[in-house]
Amino acid sequence: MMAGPADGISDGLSDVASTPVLELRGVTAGYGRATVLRDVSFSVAPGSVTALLGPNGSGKTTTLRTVSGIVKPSAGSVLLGGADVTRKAPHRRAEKGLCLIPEGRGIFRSLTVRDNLRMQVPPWRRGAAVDAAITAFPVLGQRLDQVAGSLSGGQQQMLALGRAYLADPTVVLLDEVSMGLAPRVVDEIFGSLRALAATGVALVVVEQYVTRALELADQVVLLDRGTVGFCGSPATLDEAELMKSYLGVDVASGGAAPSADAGGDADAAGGRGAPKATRSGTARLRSRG
Amino acid sequence: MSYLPFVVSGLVTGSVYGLAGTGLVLTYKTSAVFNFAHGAIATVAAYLFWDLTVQHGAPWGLAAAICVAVGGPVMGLVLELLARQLAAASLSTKVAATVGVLLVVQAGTDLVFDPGVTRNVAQYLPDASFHVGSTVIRASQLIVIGVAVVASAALWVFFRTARLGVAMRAVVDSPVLLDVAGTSPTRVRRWSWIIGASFASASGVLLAPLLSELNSINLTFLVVTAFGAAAIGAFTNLPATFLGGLLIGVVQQLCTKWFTGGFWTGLSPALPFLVLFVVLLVSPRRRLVEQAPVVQRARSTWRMPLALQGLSGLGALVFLLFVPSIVGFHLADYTTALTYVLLFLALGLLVRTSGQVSLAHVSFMAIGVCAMSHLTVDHHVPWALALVLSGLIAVPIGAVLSIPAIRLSGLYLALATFGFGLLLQYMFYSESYMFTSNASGLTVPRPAWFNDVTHGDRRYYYLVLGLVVVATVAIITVNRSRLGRLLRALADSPTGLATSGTSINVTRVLVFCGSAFLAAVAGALQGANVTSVSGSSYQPLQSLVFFALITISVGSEPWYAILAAFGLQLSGVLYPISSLQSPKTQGYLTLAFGIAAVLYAVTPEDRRQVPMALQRSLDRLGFRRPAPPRTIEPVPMAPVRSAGSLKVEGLKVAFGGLVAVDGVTLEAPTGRITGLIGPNGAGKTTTFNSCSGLNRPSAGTVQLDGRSVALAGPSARARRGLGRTFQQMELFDTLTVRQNVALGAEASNAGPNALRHLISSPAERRRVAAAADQAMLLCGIVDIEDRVVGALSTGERRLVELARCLAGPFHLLLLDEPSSGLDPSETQRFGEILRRVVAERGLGILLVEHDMTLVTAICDYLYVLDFGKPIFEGTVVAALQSPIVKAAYLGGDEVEDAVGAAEPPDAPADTRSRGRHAKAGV
Repeated sequence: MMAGPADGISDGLSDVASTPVLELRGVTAGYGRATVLRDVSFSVAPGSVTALLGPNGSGKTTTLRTVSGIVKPSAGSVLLGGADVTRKAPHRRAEKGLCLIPEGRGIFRSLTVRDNLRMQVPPWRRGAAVDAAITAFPVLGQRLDQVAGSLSGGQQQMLALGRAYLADPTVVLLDEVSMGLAPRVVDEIFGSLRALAATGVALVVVEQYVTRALELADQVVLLDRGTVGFCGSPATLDEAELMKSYLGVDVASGGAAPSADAGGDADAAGGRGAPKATRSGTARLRSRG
Repeated sequence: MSYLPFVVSGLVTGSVYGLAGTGLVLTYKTSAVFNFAHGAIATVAAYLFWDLTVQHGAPWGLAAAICVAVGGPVMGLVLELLARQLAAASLSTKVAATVGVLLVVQAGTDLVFDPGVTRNVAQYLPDASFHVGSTVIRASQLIVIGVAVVASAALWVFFRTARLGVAMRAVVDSPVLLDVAGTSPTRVRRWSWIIGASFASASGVLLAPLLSELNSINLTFLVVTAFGAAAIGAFTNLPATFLGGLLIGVVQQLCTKWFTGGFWTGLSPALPFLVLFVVLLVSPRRRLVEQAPVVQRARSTWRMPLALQGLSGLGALVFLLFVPSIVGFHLADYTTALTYVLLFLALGLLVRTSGQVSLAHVSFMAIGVCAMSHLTVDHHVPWALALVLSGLIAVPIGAVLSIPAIRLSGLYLALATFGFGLLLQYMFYSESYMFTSNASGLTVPRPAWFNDVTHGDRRYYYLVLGLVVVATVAIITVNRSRLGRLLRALADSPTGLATSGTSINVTRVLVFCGSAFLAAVAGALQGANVTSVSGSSYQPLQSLVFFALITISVGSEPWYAILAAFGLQLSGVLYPISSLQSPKTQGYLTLAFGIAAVLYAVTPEDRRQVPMALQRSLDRLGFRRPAPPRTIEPVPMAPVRSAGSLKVEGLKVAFGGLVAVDGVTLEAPTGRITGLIGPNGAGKTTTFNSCSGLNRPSAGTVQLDGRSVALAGPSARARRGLGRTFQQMELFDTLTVRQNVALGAEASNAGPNALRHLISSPAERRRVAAAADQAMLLCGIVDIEDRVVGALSTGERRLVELARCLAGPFHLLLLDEPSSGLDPSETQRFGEILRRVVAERGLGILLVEHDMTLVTAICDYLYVLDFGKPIFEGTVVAALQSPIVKAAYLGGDEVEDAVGAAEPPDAPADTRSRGRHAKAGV
């Protein structure tokens, strides 16, 4: 890994007890007759960031729903901080420090911002709830009595993210938090995720902006049609393989469009150099703009 | 000042309605179970109050506290338990369960408290009075108003400020979110049922002294008035519900002042239901959205082998032929049961076959019997002709009832039809053209030959039996005909049927009219059986019981109708006049029926089916063997009628404030596969829905073959050649593969023409069969053609949906994510089929697809959307090399790293202007 926000956390990892905050053991789950996940296993170390990637329909959202207890697995188990919670209801898991920011907008649309913040914390943490959220997202402070459904998309997502600050979680699951938001807002949201990770909370990120997720991640879990296709550090992830899994074509060799400079592409895109290039590329763009 | 007494007494009853309505809305919104037994809670409370005060001499304050603070919560907890079991149930199951509770309470009350004894609760509140002008106002009246206002206001404040109250509003928005945020939705719902049931109990206790005597049915129905109040609050808003209750109460009382004679006297009691019906008809559709399906469509559609069914039918018929010799003086009850078979055939066609709801079927019986009486007695129409005419008279009224079916779905349709039935009862039953206000009622004659003292009843029984056999055969025929397929398709997927070319509103009107006709005939026949009827025999409660029965009755047509009819008659749920049982026995039977309905509702669906072992042995017994596979000769595919194209220009679609699609322009001509791709939420499906007429664009045009289709609905667009598949497949799950595929062609044949819904020419049938055969052959699903679609794998289902589209007379197809859920080999096969039909038939395809392997393999041209805006169009090769496309898929502005260094130097700047429409043709 190159220098980056995740590094400090990696160093911290060795200090913290080695019990993973979250662990999936051979989870098989689905809806009705359709099995979506097959024998999925991975674990999340305390304070680490895991990017859960894979094309549409590969089971990312189902994984998060299974971890949070909305979907009951037909086999396997889910452990939070070493304790088996497979049979526990979602609100029991929330008590144990799990926090899901669901797909779409995870807010109560007909409630005011203030009531949303009140509902987002478990009953035993209502004290400083509102203040903590406003510190993280000052814009919410100006709109406390506005009905949440009338906020802009970005503000709604910030309100949803507020729970990650309020509920004092040990692991936060984020499902496509950038979906449908303008790039500038996405920057802001990712900034807040970086800050959240820096506080030592473990994150599991499902994200369509793969490169952004990789920037943040200590670990990548790549799902392929409901099974774990790759699990390891982003540095060992072959980016050409990732592209293939997403776009369905071998981008490195041009796919349907064989091109003369395909070899060059492969060298640049694949291998260990890629994450570095990504980061420097970001820097370049930022400085220009 | 003369208005004041009416206003005050209106406020008294109105506040009780408001109180009950508030409790009803609270439980409905938090648990999604509409409690038809809400009034039953009030009944229990009122009887308990009577028992405590009158029988046990308890002080009224203590008794009221016990009723409201103990009785209410206990009933609330029991109902919450039931509601939790019903969470995922279909509407009809929920209705059956709550009607079951209603019957249990009513029968239980009558068993505990002998209805033969008159009970009344004296006014227990302080009864001092004072004068305002010339009007006497009693303290008790003010106390009732005060209690209701304070309780409702307290609930409102609780909702706004208390954490639990906020949680109750939150659970309405999203129970799952509340759960993951650390609050148990079950706990929240439990509290809302406790509060809701306490409010209902309070309304019962307040109502008791206002009634001349306690009566379990009347009490239950007084609270039904709260439905109207709930409608004013849009089944959501608590203060509006309470104010709605007050308004209804006051206007009701004023009506009694204004209309003291004639037609409008019925307005006062009918007002709540007039409000209910009208509010549901005029409310904006989006405010009344119900997700639960009306009828649970069985996934396993095993049916008894035909040979066995025929044998059983024969056995039943033989038994029925001998009934007059066996049952002696009970014969009239059996004749009544036979007329109920007709009724349940009518209701079954509506509910079980076509997935609609009617809680007004007793009204059609009433209309039928009135028409029969007036036609034969007053106008001397020959009996047989009068029977047909009395059925026909109900047809336009059935058509009126189908209007809510077009606008509404699920519970709101159910409530609208229920309101319609009650409205009819209060406004029209006492009119001279119906039952008249004369208590002795109407005479319904029989033809002379059936009036014979010794043989008349027996002859009439055989007449009705004959008609039942004819109707049964007719219903079975309908179910196997085109109309039957269309109706079942309507129940399974209205969207799928409409986008295949049938004007589903025509189908809906047709089924309501047909059902009304048959129900009215049943009413007329039943009237002539008892020869003298009055309006009190046609109470709206019966419609609820009918609906519950048709829901829990087992078997396919006509078995469910026979079971329901004889079940109804034997249990004597509705007819104290039935000579089969003593009142006590009848009470126990009603109780048993209510319990059965509740038990049925809480039984998981998979356990309601015939056990597999029994299915297999019955199959063996009925000599059922799998049919040998057919071989279909492929015929060369005929090219599409003409070249054409689908053109979208400047399309903009907004939902509320959210702009889902903004400025999309694209063209999909015949002879080409055009891809429409983009990340999640880019607006692809929204664009599709605009093309097929399922949403209303706020700007832009959609043209089909050069002509605008702005005014055409989904089915008209389908008939003009636009076929469609769906990401969430819109298949007809209870039909076989062959029937599904055939409907692709048949749906357009039926089109908007009611007659062609019913009749098809042999040549047309041959064309449909040939088109279906070829489409199945092309998609390789001939070997599964007799299987029911609901039981197939995702891959097979995708192929069935494609085959349905290919069998239809479409030259342009919109395919939405056809490969999701398919494995790679299935996807590849799918792609090959698409390429073939485009090459050989010259179809045009617009494809939304996530699987880029498939897209790059088969598409000729691509449009890429992101954030609802077009960001690219061009060939596949160009798209793959475009940094913009990769940016859209992999995200952010870091795209140049993902694609490597091979891009031209200006690429980063280009990729950052993501909204820009880059055109890259090759």
